[in-house]
Amino acid sequence: MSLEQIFRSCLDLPGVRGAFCLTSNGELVENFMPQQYTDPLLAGLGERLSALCGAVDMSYSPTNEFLISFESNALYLRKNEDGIIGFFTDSNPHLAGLRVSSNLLLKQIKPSMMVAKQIDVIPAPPPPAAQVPEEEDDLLLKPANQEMPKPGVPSKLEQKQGLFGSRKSKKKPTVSDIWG
Amino acid sequence: MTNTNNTPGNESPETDLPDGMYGYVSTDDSGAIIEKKGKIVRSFDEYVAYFNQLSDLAADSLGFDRAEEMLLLGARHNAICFAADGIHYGAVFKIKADRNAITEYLREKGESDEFGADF
Repeated sequence: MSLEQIFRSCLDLPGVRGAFCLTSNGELVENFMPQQYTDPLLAGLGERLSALCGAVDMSYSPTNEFLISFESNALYLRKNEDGIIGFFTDSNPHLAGLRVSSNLLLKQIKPSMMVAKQIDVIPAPPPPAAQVPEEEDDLLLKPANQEMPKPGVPSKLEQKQGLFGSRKSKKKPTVSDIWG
Repeated sequence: MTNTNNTPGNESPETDLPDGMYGYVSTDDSGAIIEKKGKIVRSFDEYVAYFNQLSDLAADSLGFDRAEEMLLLGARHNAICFAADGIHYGAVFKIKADRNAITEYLREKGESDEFGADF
């Protein structure tokens, strides 16, 4: 039985809009949330929920059930040693019903099923830059009346010797210069 | 005001608190306690603000501005955390206690400026 089949019955519960499954480290296993909640988005949520569960366990009391209420929705979380199950619900969910459903879910889910999903992170496109043709691009760097150096031909600056144009070529030291 | 930090067990909740409430705490953003009454579990009082901040982050991930409240459903007792007007409130109560009544009590206390009256 796949996770999708296991979760299907819970998604039909009144008031339940979506569900997801995380590993105990908060990595996304399955996403049955509404379409706008993409995998990368839930991966970020998973990290935050994992931090929350850890903080509560450490500083308050080991807690396996959470209900976080938002403006018009709520998030019911159920945790065990294998992972975290989340139900995205209406603002006033039927807690007892969710508890029973999540109990059944946790019984059906085997630890081997809790494998983190491979999430393809699409890199953000680079900000649009003004398209300048290559020839025009060169003109932008060159003063209007200056000739561009041709490849292979030394420029006037290169033809000069030294900083002020008067330095003679440096004599290479011979062995006798070094050892007297 | 009693400032005990005992874990609530089988003893009866404080009489001047709503039915089923063991204790409550209010803190500022930094976690500094403004008022505490009754019995609070372990370091719950110090972490109420942090819990609220984490639940706000979860809300942000789901596209909401903030979390209105968070309920911690334990095997022996429940706790509730929420923030209002920059103050973080937390309460520990019996599993069968009326959660809405407890939230209402805390909100009313906050509005009536009773919190921090000792300072």
